[in-house]
Amino acid sequence: MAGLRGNGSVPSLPPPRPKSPPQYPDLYGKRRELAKVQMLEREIGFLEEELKSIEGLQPASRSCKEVADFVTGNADPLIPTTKKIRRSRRFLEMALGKKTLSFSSKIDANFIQSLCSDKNEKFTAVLLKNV
Amino acid sequence: MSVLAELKQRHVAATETLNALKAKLKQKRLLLLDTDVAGYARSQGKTPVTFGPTDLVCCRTLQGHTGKVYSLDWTPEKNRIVSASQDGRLIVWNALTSQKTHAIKLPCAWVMTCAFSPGGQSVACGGLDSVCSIFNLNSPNDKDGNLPVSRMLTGHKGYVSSCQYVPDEETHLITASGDQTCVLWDITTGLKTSVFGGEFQSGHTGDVLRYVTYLFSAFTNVYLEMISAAFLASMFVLGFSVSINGSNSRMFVSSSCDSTVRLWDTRVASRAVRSFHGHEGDVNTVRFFPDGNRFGTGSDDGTCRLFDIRTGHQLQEYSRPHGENEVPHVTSIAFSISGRLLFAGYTMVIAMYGTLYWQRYVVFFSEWCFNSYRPSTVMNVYMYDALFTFQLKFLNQQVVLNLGSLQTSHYGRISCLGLSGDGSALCTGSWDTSLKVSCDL
Repeated sequence: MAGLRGNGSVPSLPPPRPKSPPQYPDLYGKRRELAKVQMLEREIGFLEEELKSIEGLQPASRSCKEVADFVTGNADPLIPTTKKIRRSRRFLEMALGKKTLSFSSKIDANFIQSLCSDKNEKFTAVLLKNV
Repeated sequence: MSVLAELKQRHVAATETLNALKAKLKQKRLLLLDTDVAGYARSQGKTPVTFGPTDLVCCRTLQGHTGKVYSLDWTPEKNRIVSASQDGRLIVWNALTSQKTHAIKLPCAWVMTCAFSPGGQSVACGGLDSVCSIFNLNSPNDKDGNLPVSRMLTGHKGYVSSCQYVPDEETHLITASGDQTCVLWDITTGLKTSVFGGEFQSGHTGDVLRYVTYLFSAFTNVYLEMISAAFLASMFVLGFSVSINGSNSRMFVSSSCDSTVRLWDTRVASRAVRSFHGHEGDVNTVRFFPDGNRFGTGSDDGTCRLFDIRTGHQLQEYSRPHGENEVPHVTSIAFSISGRLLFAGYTMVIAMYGTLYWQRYVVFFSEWCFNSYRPSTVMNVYMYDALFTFQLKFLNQQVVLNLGSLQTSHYGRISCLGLSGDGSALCTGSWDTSLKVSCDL
């Protein structure tokens, strides 16, 4: 039963034991078999509907084109660009307070200067607030 | 008893008819599969993305959990992460500063999944207690210093393996459960709005097995797993996943117990809109593609697939080479914000695919500590995934990638992953108790 918990401490539950399968009343023998058969026949109906609907379906190439157009049409911060200084690198540098990491390269003064002129970087904007 | 015998006959006949129909359907669909995404991209002369050694590296390690991390979720904005761990806690992190803003002690330690609400005000979690618990992050702590549960969503008859808030709705979420149903909840009342699935009453072997394997994973350490890695690899996936369409929040997909995925309309609980066939093993993870018209899946059969929701076509299969007796299980997947990259967490390694060409990059290599830390030994065990020997082949081009350094890799199984709301960072959670945030340098 759902309900608001009070402000008292919540007693910790004992380690759960795997529950026995849900008890479906009267689902033994005939009734269980009937339920299984009905489920199968329902599935058959769905598949027959699907077979009919396939007749008018467009081929996969149209959907593939949509995928290709979509993924190439949108910017992605994780895909490397040819820019020397990339947005996420600024996140890295600023978030780490300009500490040098084992795998990062050195930061030069011009790079830091260029950070301040960037206007469109969400991460940078947030980081500058936090710094 | 003759009635029973007759029913059994009907059962056999129905099964045969069903299998025949499935075969016919498969055949008809094959005729319509004139290409896959990779084939189309090649025919259009599109060029693959290339990655260098300093692209996509770990820039933050979030440490604080004392047990395996099982699940994580980002806020849609503000770059916060909630993680759930075997240590019985949820931790809310600021991904930029790596500070913990909340450490929530759970009433039931056996947690399997967690989710952030769209506004970032609440977190939800679920697990072996079969309950989905909601915590309001702005609530004052109780007298023991713990954040109180603000709502418990009870009613599932099995563990809660996956939960997700409906996009832009603080008061509704969907859970997937080991009882083989998905439920849409109204958090305000704590009541079920709709129940999806539940017509499967065909045995509970899988259910009990998952309980056992979850508990086993909670107790074993790395050494035991190394010894029986191949056997255990098939057991440690918790399964039953759900993903809501970000472009149309009335639609969601759920992995089903029969290796299919089902697409649901929340307004019609009585039957799925469509079932998607193709996988040859349990489907452990599903995730909508950013355009809302496709979704990706990851399975025990070692493949990820991309399906189209309107036609039902399988548009692409993503697979990785593996040893003869090994089938890597896909535990989690995520798409980058453009959909160009598919991240797939396997039982040991995350592979990142270019969606167009399905070229595969090994991005993260999670190593096992075996006796003393001997990376070369570990490399030999999973050589096909090793950082140093991995080769990327595409169109006769061989590129050797050496991504990241050993220091920045997880040293335990990667259990969960997710992209930040703006797509600029990937977070991975691992059985080594840490989370790592990675971004493009």
